[in-house]
Amino acid sequence: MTLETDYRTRHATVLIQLAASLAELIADYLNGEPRIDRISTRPKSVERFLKKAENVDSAGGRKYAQPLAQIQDQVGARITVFYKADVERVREILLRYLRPIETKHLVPASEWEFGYFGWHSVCLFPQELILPDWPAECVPQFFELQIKTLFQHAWSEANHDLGYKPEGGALTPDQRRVLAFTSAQAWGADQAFQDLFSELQGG
Amino acid sequence: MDPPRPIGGTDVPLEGEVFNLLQDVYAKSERECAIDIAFDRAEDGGARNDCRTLLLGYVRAPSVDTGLPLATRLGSVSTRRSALGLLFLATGLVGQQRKIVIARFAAHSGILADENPEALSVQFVERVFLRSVGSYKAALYQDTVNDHGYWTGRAVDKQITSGEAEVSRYWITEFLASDFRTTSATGTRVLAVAMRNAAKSTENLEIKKEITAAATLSAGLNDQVMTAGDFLGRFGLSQPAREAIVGQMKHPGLLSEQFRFSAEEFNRQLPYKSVELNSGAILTAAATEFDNVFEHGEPDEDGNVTYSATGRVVSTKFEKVSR
Repeated sequence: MTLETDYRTRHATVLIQLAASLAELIADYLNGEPRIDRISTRPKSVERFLKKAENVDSAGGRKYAQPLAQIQDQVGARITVFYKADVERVREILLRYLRPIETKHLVPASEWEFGYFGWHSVCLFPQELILPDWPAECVPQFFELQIKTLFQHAWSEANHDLGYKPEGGALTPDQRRVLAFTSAQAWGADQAFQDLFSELQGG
Repeated sequence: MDPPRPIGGTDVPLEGEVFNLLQDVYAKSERECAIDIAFDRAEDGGARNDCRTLLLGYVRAPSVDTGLPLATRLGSVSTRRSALGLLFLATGLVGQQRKIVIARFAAHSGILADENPEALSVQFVERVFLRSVGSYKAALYQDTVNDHGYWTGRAVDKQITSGEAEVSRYWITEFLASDFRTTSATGTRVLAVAMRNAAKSTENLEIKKEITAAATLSAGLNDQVMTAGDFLGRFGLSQPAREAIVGQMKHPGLLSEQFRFSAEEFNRQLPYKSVELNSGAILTAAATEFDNVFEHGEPDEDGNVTYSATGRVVSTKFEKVSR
Protein backbone atom coordinates (compact mmCIF):
# COMPACT_ATOMS: atom_id res chain seq x y z
CA MET A 1 0.00 0.00 0.00
CA THR A 2 1.33 3.45 -0.88
CA LEU A 3 0.66 6.66 1.00
CA GLU A 4 -1.57 7.77 -1.86
CA THR A 5 -3.66 4.58 -1.73
CA ASP A 6 -3.95 4.80 2.05
CA TYR A 7 -5.05 8.42 1.94
CA ARG A 8 -7.47 7.84 -0.93
CA THR A 9 -9.12 5.08 1.11
CA ARG A 10 -9.24 7.29 4.21
CA HIS A 11 -10.60 10.22 2.18
CA ALA A 12 -13.40 8.18 0.62
CA THR A 13 -14.27 6.05 3.66
CA VAL A 14 -14.17 8.61 6.44
CA LEU A 15 -12.98 12.15 5.70
CA ILE A 16 -15.76 13.28 3.35
CA GLN A 17 -18.48 12.18 5.77
CA LEU A 18 -16.56 13.41 8.81
CA ALA A 19 -16.14 16.90 7.33
CA ALA A 20 -19.86 17.09 6.52
CA SER A 21 -20.94 16.01 9.99
CA LEU A 22 -18.45 18.42 11.58
CA ALA A 23 -20.07 21.30 9.66
CA GLU A 24 -23.50 20.27 10.95
CA LEU A 25 -22.24 20.00 14.51
CA ILE A 26 -20.54 23.41 14.47
CA ALA A 27 -23.70 24.92 12.98
CA ASP A 28 -25.65 23.40 15.90
CA TYR A 29 -23.17 24.81 18.41
CA LEU A 30 -23.59 28.26 16.88
CA ASN A 31 -27.31 28.05 16.21
CA GLY A 32 -28.94 31.46 16.67
CA GLU A 33 -25.65 33.34 16.98
CA PRO A 34 -25.56 36.62 15.01
CA ARG A 35 -23.01 37.94 12.52
CA ILE A 36 -21.71 34.61 11.28
CA ASP A 37 -21.15 34.80 7.55
CA ARG A 38 -20.27 31.18 6.85
CA ILE A 39 -19.37 27.85 8.39
CA SER A 40 -17.41 25.66 6.02
CA THR A 41 -15.51 22.41 6.34
CA ARG A 42 -13.49 20.36 3.88
CA PRO A 43 -11.55 17.14 3.75
CA LYS A 44 -8.02 17.82 2.49
CA SER A 45 -7.84 16.73 -1.14
CA VAL A 46 -5.60 13.79 -2.06
CA GLU A 47 -3.39 16.06 -4.17
CA ARG A 48 -2.89 18.66 -1.42
CA PHE A 49 -2.25 15.99 1.19
CA LEU A 50 0.44 14.31 -0.93
CA LYS A 51 2.05 17.68 -1.65
CA LYS A 52 2.10 18.56 2.06
CA ALA A 53 3.53 15.13 2.92
CA GLU A 54 6.59 16.02 0.84
CA ASN A 55 7.35 19.20 2.81
CA VAL A 56 10.91 19.46 4.08
CA ASP A 57 12.13 20.89 7.38
CA SER A 58 14.87 23.49 7.90
CA ALA A 59 17.55 20.75 7.84
CA GLY A 60 16.35 19.57 4.42
CA GLY A 61 14.84 16.32 5.70
CA ARG A 62 11.25 15.19 5.35
CA LYS A 63 9.01 17.09 7.75
CA TYR A 64 6.56 14.21 8.14
CA ALA A 65 7.91 10.69 8.70
CA GLN A 66 4.33 9.43 9.25
CA PRO A 67 2.12 11.85 7.28
CA LEU A 68 -1.14 10.03 8.01
CA ALA A 69 -0.57 10.40 11.76
CA GLN A 70 1.20 13.76 11.72
CA ILE A 71 -0.71 15.99 9.29
CA GLN A 72 -3.42 17.48 11.47
CA ASP A 73 -5.53 19.38 8.94
CA GLN A 74 -6.87 16.38 7.00
CA VAL A 75 -10.21 17.91 7.93
CA GLY A 76 -10.41 21.67 8.22
CA ALA A 77 -13.20 23.90 9.49
CA ARG A 78 -13.51 27.65 9.04
CA ILE A 79 -15.96 30.07 10.54
CA THR A 80 -16.12 33.51 8.97
CA VAL A 81 -17.60 36.26 11.13
CA PHE A 82 -18.32 39.93 10.55
CA TYR A 83 -16.19 41.77 13.10
CA LYS A 84 -13.17 41.20 15.32
CA ALA A 85 -15.20 40.96 18.54
CA ASP A 86 -17.22 38.18 16.90
CA VAL A 87 -14.05 36.08 16.64
CA GLU A 88 -13.73 36.11 20.44
CA ARG A 89 -17.43 35.44 20.99
CA VAL A 90 -17.51 32.46 18.60
CA ARG A 91 -14.20 31.15 19.96
CA GLU A 92 -15.59 31.13 23.50
CA ILE A 93 -18.70 29.22 22.46
CA LEU A 94 -16.76 26.61 20.48
CA LEU A 95 -14.20 26.04 23.22
CA ARG A 96 -17.02 25.08 25.57
CA TYR A 97 -17.60 22.04 23.38
CA LEU A 98 -14.27 21.25 21.74
CA ARG A 99 -11.02 19.89 23.19
CA PRO A 100 -8.13 21.78 21.59
CA ILE A 101 -4.54 20.63 21.87
CA GLU A 102 -3.38 23.96 20.49
CA THR A 103 -4.82 27.45 20.08
CA LYS A 104 -3.07 30.51 18.65
CA HIS A 105 -3.61 33.92 17.13
CA LEU A 106 -1.53 34.00 13.97
CA VAL A 107 -0.07 37.44 13.38
CA PRO A 108 2.99 38.71 11.50
CA ALA A 109 6.25 38.39 13.45
CA SER A 110 6.74 42.14 13.88
CA GLU A 111 4.34 45.04 14.52
CA TRP A 112 5.98 46.70 11.49
CA GLU A 113 4.84 43.94 9.16
CA PHE A 114 1.50 43.06 7.61
CA GLY A 115 0.48 39.63 6.35
CA TYR A 116 -1.66 36.78 7.61
CA PHE A 117 -3.98 37.31 10.58
CA GLY A 118 -6.35 34.69 12.01
CA TRP A 119 -7.23 32.51 14.97
CA HIS A 120 -6.26 28.86 14.56
CA SER A 121 -6.71 25.77 16.68
CA VAL A 122 -6.09 22.04 16.45
CA CYS A 123 -8.93 20.15 18.13
CA LEU A 124 -9.80 16.55 18.86
CA PHE A 125 -12.85 15.29 17.01
CA PRO A 126 -15.84 15.03 19.36
CA GLN A 127 -16.64 11.37 20.01
CA GLU A 128 -20.16 11.76 18.64
CA LEU A 129 -18.71 12.23 15.14
CA ILE A 130 -16.62 9.05 15.17
CA LEU A 131 -18.83 6.24 13.95
CA PRO A 132 -17.98 2.84 15.44
CA ASP A 133 -18.10 1.02 12.09
CA TRP A 134 -15.32 3.13 10.57
CA PRO A 135 -11.95 1.34 10.36
CA ALA A 136 -9.84 2.79 13.20
CA GLU A 137 -6.79 3.21 10.96
CA CYS A 138 -8.78 5.60 8.71
CA VAL A 139 -9.96 7.95 11.47
CA PRO A 140 -7.82 11.03 12.17
CA GLN A 141 -7.71 12.34 15.74
CA PHE A 142 -7.59 16.02 14.97
CA PHE A 143 -9.03 18.73 12.77
CA GLU A 144 -7.91 22.29 12.19
CA LEU A 145 -10.31 25.07 13.16
CA GLN A 146 -10.00 28.66 11.95
CA ILE A 147 -12.10 31.64 12.97
CA LYS A 148 -11.59 34.77 10.87
CA THR A 149 -13.24 38.04 10.05
CA LEU A 150 -14.53 38.58 6.52
CA PHE A 151 -11.54 40.78 5.75
CA GLN A 152 -8.99 38.36 7.20
CA HIS A 153 -10.55 35.58 5.12
CA ALA A 154 -10.70 37.66 1.95
CA TRP A 155 -7.05 38.62 2.27
CA SER A 156 -5.84 35.08 2.97
CA GLU A 157 -7.77 33.69 -0.01
CA ALA A 158 -6.28 36.26 -2.39
CA ASN A 159 -2.85 35.79 -0.85
CA HIS A 160 -3.15 32.03 -1.23
CA ASP A 161 -4.00 32.54 -4.89
CA LEU A 162 -1.40 35.18 -5.69
CA GLY A 163 1.24 34.99 -2.98
CA TYR A 164 2.05 31.28 -2.80
CA LYS A 165 1.53 30.10 -6.34
CA PRO A 166 2.22 32.91 -8.79
CA GLU A 167 2.29 31.81 -12.41
CA GLY A 168 5.63 33.41 -13.14
CA GLY A 169 7.89 32.37 -10.24
CA ALA A 170 8.74 34.34 -7.12
CA LEU A 171 7.14 37.71 -6.39
CA THR A 172 9.17 40.87 -6.71
CA PRO A 173 9.76 43.03 -3.59
CA ASP A 174 7.15 45.53 -4.81
CA GLN A 175 4.62 42.76 -5.42
CA ARG A 176 5.22 41.52 -1.86
CA ARG A 177 4.72 45.09 -0.64
CA VAL A 178 1.40 45.21 -2.49
CA LEU A 179 0.28 42.09 -0.60
CA ALA A 180 1.45 43.61 2.68
CA PHE A 181 -0.39 46.83 1.77
CA THR A 182 -3.64 44.99 1.13
CA SER A 183 -3.22 43.15 4.44
CA ALA A 184 -2.77 46.52 6.17
CA GLN A 185 -5.94 47.79 4.47
CA ALA A 186 -7.87 44.67 5.55
CA TRP A 187 -6.54 45.12 9.10
CA GLY A 188 -7.60 48.78 9.03
CA ALA A 189 -11.06 47.90 7.71
CA ASP A 190 -11.49 45.38 10.56
CA GLN A 191 -10.48 48.01 13.08
CA ALA A 192 -12.84 50.60 11.56
CA PHE A 193 -15.82 48.22 11.42
CA GLN A 194 -15.18 47.06 14.97
CA ASP A 195 -14.99 50.65 16.20
CA LEU A 196 -18.20 51.57 14.38
CA PHE A 197 -19.95 48.46 15.63
CA SER A 198 -18.92 49.16 19.22
CA GLU A 199 -19.99 52.79 18.89
CA LEU A 200 -23.42 51.90 17.50
CA GLN A 201 -23.94 49.12 20.01
CA GLY A 202 -22.92 51.45 22.82
CA GLY A 203 -25.29 54.14 21.58
CA MET B 1 5.96 20.02 54.51
CA ASP B 2 7.78 16.71 54.41
CA PRO B 3 10.91 16.61 52.23
CA PRO B 4 10.33 14.68 48.99
CA ARG B 5 11.09 11.00 49.41
CA PRO B 6 13.86 9.69 47.14
CA ILE B 7 12.45 7.65 44.27
CA GLY B 8 14.13 4.57 42.80
CA GLY B 9 13.26 2.15 40.05
CA THR B 10 14.04 -1.32 38.78
CA ASP B 11 13.32 -3.53 35.78
CA VAL B 12 10.89 -6.34 36.46
CA PRO B 13 12.13 -9.61 34.87
CA LEU B 14 9.85 -10.95 32.13
CA GLU B 15 8.89 -13.93 34.26
CA GLY B 16 7.65 -14.62 37.76
CA GLU B 17 4.64 -13.65 39.80
CA VAL B 18 4.90 -9.87 39.49
CA PHE B 19 5.37 -10.13 35.74
CA ASN B 20 2.34 -12.40 35.40
CA LEU B 21 0.15 -10.05 37.38
CA LEU B 22 1.39 -7.00 35.50
CA GLN B 23 0.83 -8.77 32.22
CA ASP B 24 -2.74 -9.31 33.36
CA VAL B 25 -3.14 -5.57 34.13
CA TYR B 26 -1.61 -4.77 30.73
CA ALA B 27 -3.97 -7.11 28.86
CA LYS B 28 -7.08 -6.08 30.82
CA SER B 29 -6.35 -2.37 30.36
CA GLU B 30 -8.22 -2.33 27.03
CA ARG B 31 -11.39 -3.21 28.89
CA GLU B 32 -10.79 -1.66 32.29
CA CYS B 33 -9.50 1.76 31.27
CA ALA B 34 -12.88 3.13 30.22
CA ILE B 35 -12.54 6.86 30.89
CA ASP B 36 -11.48 8.73 27.76
CA ILE B 37 -8.98 11.44 28.66
CA ALA B 38 -6.83 13.96 26.78
CA PHE B 39 -3.79 15.95 27.81
CA ASP B 40 -4.36 19.66 28.43
CA ARG B 41 -2.61 22.18 26.21
CA ALA B 42 -0.21 24.73 27.73
CA GLU B 43 -1.62 27.85 29.39
CA ASP B 44 -0.48 30.02 26.47
CA GLY B 45 -2.40 27.74 24.08
CA GLY B 46 0.73 25.93 22.83
CA ALA B 47 0.66 22.23 21.99
CA ARG B 48 2.74 21.33 25.04
CA ASN B 49 2.03 19.33 28.18
CA ASP B 50 4.65 18.51 30.81
CA CYS B 51 3.35 15.03 31.56
CA ARG B 52 2.99 14.15 27.88
CA THR B 53 6.57 15.29 27.30
CA LEU B 54 7.72 12.76 29.93
CA LEU B 55 5.51 10.09 28.38
CA LEU B 56 6.99 10.74 24.93
CA GLY B 57 10.48 10.49 26.44
CA TYR B 58 9.60 7.06 27.77
CA VAL B 59 7.88 5.68 24.67
CA ARG B 60 10.80 6.73 22.48
CA ALA B 61 13.25 4.70 24.57
CA PRO B 62 11.58 2.70 27.36
CA SER B 63 13.92 2.20 30.35
CA VAL B 64 14.13 2.79 34.09
CA ASP B 65 15.97 6.05 33.38
CA THR B 66 13.26 7.45 31.07
CA GLY B 67 10.49 6.16 33.37
CA LEU B 68 11.84 7.73 36.57
CA PRO B 69 10.79 11.29 35.63
CA LEU B 70 7.18 10.07 35.47
CA ALA B 71 7.52 8.50 38.92
CA THR B 72 9.09 11.69 40.24
CA ARG B 73 6.21 13.71 38.82
CA LEU B 74 3.71 11.38 40.48
CA GLY B 75 5.59 11.74 43.76
CA SER B 76 5.43 15.53 43.50
CA VAL B 77 1.62 15.57 43.18
CA SER B 78 0.92 12.83 45.73
CA THR B 79 -0.93 13.88 48.83
CA ARG B 80 -1.06 12.38 52.31
CA ARG B 81 -4.31 10.76 51.30
CA SER B 82 -2.78 9.15 48.22
CA ALA B 83 0.15 8.08 50.42
CA LEU B 84 3.06 6.06 49.08
CA GLY B 85 2.91 3.83 46.09
CA LEU B 86 4.61 1.90 43.33
CA LEU B 87 4.41 3.08 39.76
CA PHE B 88 4.65 0.47 37.01
CA LEU B 89 5.24 1.19 33.34
CA ALA B 90 4.39 -1.74 31.08
CA THR B 91 4.93 -1.38 27.36
CA GLY B 92 4.79 -3.36 24.15
CA LEU B 93 4.32 -2.97 20.40
CA VAL B 94 0.93 -3.38 18.71
CA GLY B 95 1.60 -3.33 14.98
CA GLN B 96 3.18 0.05 14.20
CA GLN B 97 2.05 1.52 17.52
CA ARG B 98 3.51 1.45 21.01
CA LYS B 99 1.16 0.69 23.86
CA ILE B 100 1.98 1.79 27.37
CA VAL B 101 0.11 1.13 30.59
CA ILE B 102 0.95 3.33 33.58
CA ALA B 103 -0.29 1.80 36.82
CA ARG B 104 0.04 2.99 40.39
CA PHE B 105 -0.40 0.60 43.29
CA ALA B 106 -0.73 1.74 46.88
CA ALA B 107 2.11 0.61 49.14
CA HIS B 108 1.73 -0.14 52.82
CA SER B 109 3.87 2.25 54.80
CA GLY B 110 4.89 -0.56 57.16
CA ILE B 111 6.61 -2.30 54.30
CA LEU B 112 8.20 0.85 52.97
CA ALA B 113 9.62 1.77 56.37
CA ASP B 114 12.24 -0.96 56.31
CA GLU B 115 13.26 -0.43 52.72
CA ASN B 116 15.68 1.95 51.02
CA PRO B 117 13.76 3.19 47.95
CA GLU B 118 16.97 4.17 46.21
CA ALA B 119 17.88 0.51 46.04
CA LEU B 120 14.48 -0.78 45.01
CA SER B 121 14.59 -4.54 44.57
CA VAL B 122 12.30 -6.95 42.78
CA GLN B 123 11.79 -8.80 46.05
CA PHE B 124 10.56 -5.57 47.62
CA VAL B 125 8.26 -4.94 44.66
CA GLU B 126 6.81 -8.41 45.12
CA ARG B 127 6.15 -7.83 48.82
CA VAL B 128 4.28 -4.57 48.15
CA PHE B 129 2.63 -5.48 44.92
CA LEU B 130 1.20 -8.80 45.95
CA ARG B 131 -0.60 -7.18 48.89
CA SER B 132 -2.30 -4.47 46.89
CA VAL B 133 -3.03 -6.14 43.56
CA GLY B 134 -6.54 -5.40 42.33
CA SER B 135 -6.51 -1.92 43.82
CA TYR B 136 -4.79 0.49 41.50
CA LYS B 137 -5.06 3.46 39.17
CA ALA B 138 -4.03 3.06 35.55
CA ALA B 139 -3.79 4.91 32.27
CA LEU B 140 -3.48 3.36 28.84
CA TYR B 141 -1.91 5.06 25.84
CA GLN B 142 -1.39 3.62 22.37
CA ASP B 143 -0.22 5.57 19.34
CA THR B 144 2.47 5.86 16.70
CA VAL B 145 5.62 7.35 18.18
CA ASN B 146 6.02 10.87 16.78
CA ASP B 147 5.82 14.49 17.95
CA HIS B 148 2.06 14.65 17.34
CA GLY B 149 1.08 11.40 19.06
CA TYR B 150 -0.10 10.41 22.52
CA TRP B 151 -2.56 13.25 23.13
CA THR B 152 -5.37 10.93 24.16
CA GLY B 153 -5.62 7.91 26.41
CA ARG B 154 -7.93 6.05 28.73
CA ALA B 155 -7.87 5.85 32.51
CA VAL B 156 -9.31 3.88 35.38
CA ASP B 157 -9.25 4.21 39.14
CA LYS B 158 -9.81 0.84 40.79
CA GLN B 159 -9.20 2.31 44.22
CA ILE B 160 -12.61 3.95 44.23
CA THR B 161 -15.89 2.18 43.89
CA SER B 162 -18.30 5.10 43.62
CA GLY B 163 -18.55 7.81 40.98
CA GLU B 164 -16.85 10.24 43.35
CA ALA B 165 -14.07 11.87 41.44
CA GLU B 166 -11.83 13.29 44.15
CA VAL B 167 -9.17 10.58 43.93
CA SER B 168 -9.34 10.64 40.14
CA ARG B 169 -8.76 14.37 40.27
CA TYR B 170 -5.32 13.65 41.72
CA TRP B 171 -4.61 10.93 39.14
CA ILE B 172 -6.10 12.46 35.99
CA THR B 173 -5.93 16.21 36.61
CA GLU B 174 -2.77 16.58 38.65
CA PHE B 175 -0.48 13.71 37.66
CA LEU B 176 -1.56 13.20 34.05
CA ALA B 177 -2.30 16.96 33.51
CA SER B 178 -5.36 15.83 31.62
CA ASP B 179 -9.11 16.11 31.64
CA PHE B 180 -11.99 14.11 30.27
CA ARG B 181 -11.82 13.98 26.51
CA THR B 182 -15.47 14.97 26.41
CA THR B 183 -16.00 18.46 27.80
CA SER B 184 -18.67 19.20 30.34
CA ALA B 185 -20.74 21.08 27.75
CA THR B 186 -20.37 18.43 25.05
CA GLY B 187 -21.27 15.47 27.28
CA THR B 188 -24.26 17.34 28.71
CA ARG B 189 -25.35 18.53 25.29
CA VAL B 190 -25.28 15.04 23.77
CA LEU B 191 -27.53 13.82 26.58
CA ALA B 192 -29.89 16.80 26.57
CA VAL B 193 -30.30 16.85 22.78
CA ALA B 194 -31.04 13.11 22.76
CA MET B 195 -33.65 13.61 25.49
CA ARG B 196 -35.15 16.59 23.70
CA ASN B 197 -35.38 14.74 20.38
CA ALA B 198 -36.73 11.60 22.04
CA ALA B 199 -39.49 13.58 23.78
CA LYS B 200 -40.29 15.33 20.51
CA SER B 201 -40.41 12.24 18.34
CA THR B 202 -42.30 9.82 20.57
CA GLU B 203 -46.10 9.55 20.71
CA ASN B 204 -45.86 7.73 24.02
CA LEU B 205 -47.03 10.09 26.77
CA GLU B 206 -45.38 8.02 29.49
CA ILE B 207 -41.99 8.44 27.83
CA LYS B 208 -42.57 12.18 27.43
CA LYS B 209 -43.46 12.36 31.12
CA GLU B 210 -40.39 10.40 32.23
CA ILE B 211 -38.08 12.58 30.17
CA THR B 212 -39.68 15.77 31.48
CA ALA B 213 -39.41 14.56 35.06
CA ALA B 214 -35.71 13.71 34.64
CA ALA B 215 -35.07 17.06 32.93
CA THR B 216 -36.81 18.93 35.71
CA LEU B 217 -34.75 17.24 38.40
CA SER B 218 -31.42 17.38 36.58
CA ALA B 219 -30.27 20.71 38.03
CA GLY B 220 -29.40 18.91 41.26
CA LEU B 221 -26.67 16.96 39.46
CA ASN B 222 -24.64 20.01 38.50
CA ASP B 223 -20.87 19.38 38.41
CA GLN B 224 -21.17 15.66 39.08
CA VAL B 225 -19.03 13.27 37.05
CA MET B 226 -21.16 10.76 35.18
CA THR B 227 -21.99 9.06 31.92
CA ALA B 228 -25.27 9.46 30.06
CA GLY B 229 -25.99 5.89 31.11
CA ASP B 230 -25.49 6.87 34.77
CA PHE B 231 -27.91 9.79 34.32
CA LEU B 232 -30.64 7.58 32.86
CA GLY B 233 -30.07 5.00 35.59
CA ARG B 234 -30.15 7.58 38.37
CA PHE B 235 -33.63 8.74 37.40
CA GLY B 236 -34.82 5.16 36.91
CA LEU B 237 -36.00 5.73 33.37
CA SER B 238 -37.95 2.80 31.96
CA GLN B 239 -36.46 0.63 29.24
CA PRO B 240 -38.70 2.17 26.51
CA ALA B 241 -37.70 5.70 27.61
CA ARG B 242 -34.07 4.68 27.72
CA GLU B 243 -34.27 3.14 24.25
CA ALA B 244 -36.00 6.24 22.89
CA ILE B 245 -33.16 8.43 24.20
CA VAL B 246 -30.29 6.17 23.13
CA GLY B 247 -31.96 5.86 19.72
CA GLN B 248 -31.49 9.61 19.29
CA MET B 249 -27.73 9.45 19.96
CA LYS B 250 -25.40 9.18 16.99
CA HIS B 251 -24.06 5.89 18.37
CA PRO B 252 -24.59 3.86 21.55
CA GLY B 253 -20.94 4.32 22.61
CA LEU B 254 -21.88 7.84 23.74
CA LEU B 255 -23.84 6.30 26.60
CA SER B 256 -20.60 5.38 28.38
CA GLU B 257 -18.62 8.55 27.71
CA GLN B 258 -17.62 10.22 30.98
CA PHE B 259 -18.12 13.97 31.56
CA ARG B 260 -18.96 16.49 34.23
CA PHE B 261 -22.68 17.34 34.14
CA SER B 262 -23.47 21.02 33.54
CA ALA B 263 -26.92 22.21 34.63
CA GLU B 264 -26.37 25.41 32.64
CA GLU B 265 -25.70 23.53 29.40
CA PHE B 266 -28.56 21.13 30.04
CA ASN B 267 -30.94 24.03 30.48
CA ARG B 268 -29.53 25.64 27.36
CA GLN B 269 -30.37 22.56 25.32
CA LEU B 270 -33.56 21.42 27.03
CA PRO B 271 -34.93 24.61 28.41
CA TYR B 272 -38.73 24.36 28.40
CA LYS B 273 -41.44 22.15 29.72
CA SER B 274 -44.81 22.31 28.00
CA VAL B 275 -48.11 20.82 29.08
CA GLU B 276 -50.97 20.63 26.62
CA LEU B 277 -54.52 20.19 27.87
CA ASN B 278 -57.38 18.72 25.83
CA SER B 279 -59.07 22.10 26.21
CA GLY B 280 -56.50 23.53 23.80
CA ALA B 281 -54.46 25.28 26.48
CA ILE B 282 -50.68 24.96 26.29
CA LEU B 283 -48.64 25.84 29.35
CA THR B 284 -44.96 26.50 28.84
CA ALA B 285 -42.20 27.44 31.24
CA ALA B 286 -38.55 26.73 31.82
CA ALA B 287 -38.33 23.04 32.65
CA THR B 288 -36.50 23.78 35.87
CA GLU B 289 -39.12 26.38 36.88
CA PHE B 290 -42.35 24.88 35.58
CA ASP B 291 -43.55 23.42 38.86
CA ASN B 292 -42.74 26.67 40.62
CA VAL B 293 -44.67 28.98 38.30
CA PHE B 294 -47.71 26.75 37.68
CA GLU B 295 -49.75 25.55 40.61
CA HIS B 296 -52.00 22.59 40.04
CA GLY B 297 -54.04 20.10 42.03
CA GLU B 298 -54.62 16.39 41.51
CA PRO B 299 -56.66 15.32 38.45
CA ASP B 300 -60.35 14.60 39.14
CA GLU B 301 -62.14 11.36 38.19
CA ASP B 302 -62.26 12.42 34.54
CA GLY B 303 -58.62 13.40 34.47
CA ASN B 304 -59.37 17.11 34.50
CA VAL B 305 -56.81 19.25 36.25
CA THR B 306 -56.68 22.98 36.98
CA TYR B 307 -53.45 24.91 36.52
CA SER B 308 -53.04 28.45 37.76
CA ALA B 309 -50.31 31.04 37.34
CA THR B 310 -49.94 34.55 38.66
CA GLY B 311 -47.89 37.40 37.17
CA ARG B 312 -47.99 40.56 35.09
CA VAL B 313 -48.48 40.19 31.32
CA VAL B 314 -45.20 41.20 29.71
CA SER B 315 -45.85 39.98 26.17
CA THR B 316 -48.44 38.24 24.02
CA LYS B 317 -47.54 36.17 20.96
CA PHE B 318 -49.49 34.78 18.04
CA GLU B 319 -47.72 31.73 16.61
CA LYS B 320 -48.52 28.79 14.43
CA VAL B 321 -48.38 25.64 16.50
CA SER B 322 -47.05 22.57 14.72
CA ARG B 323 -49.36 19.60 15.15
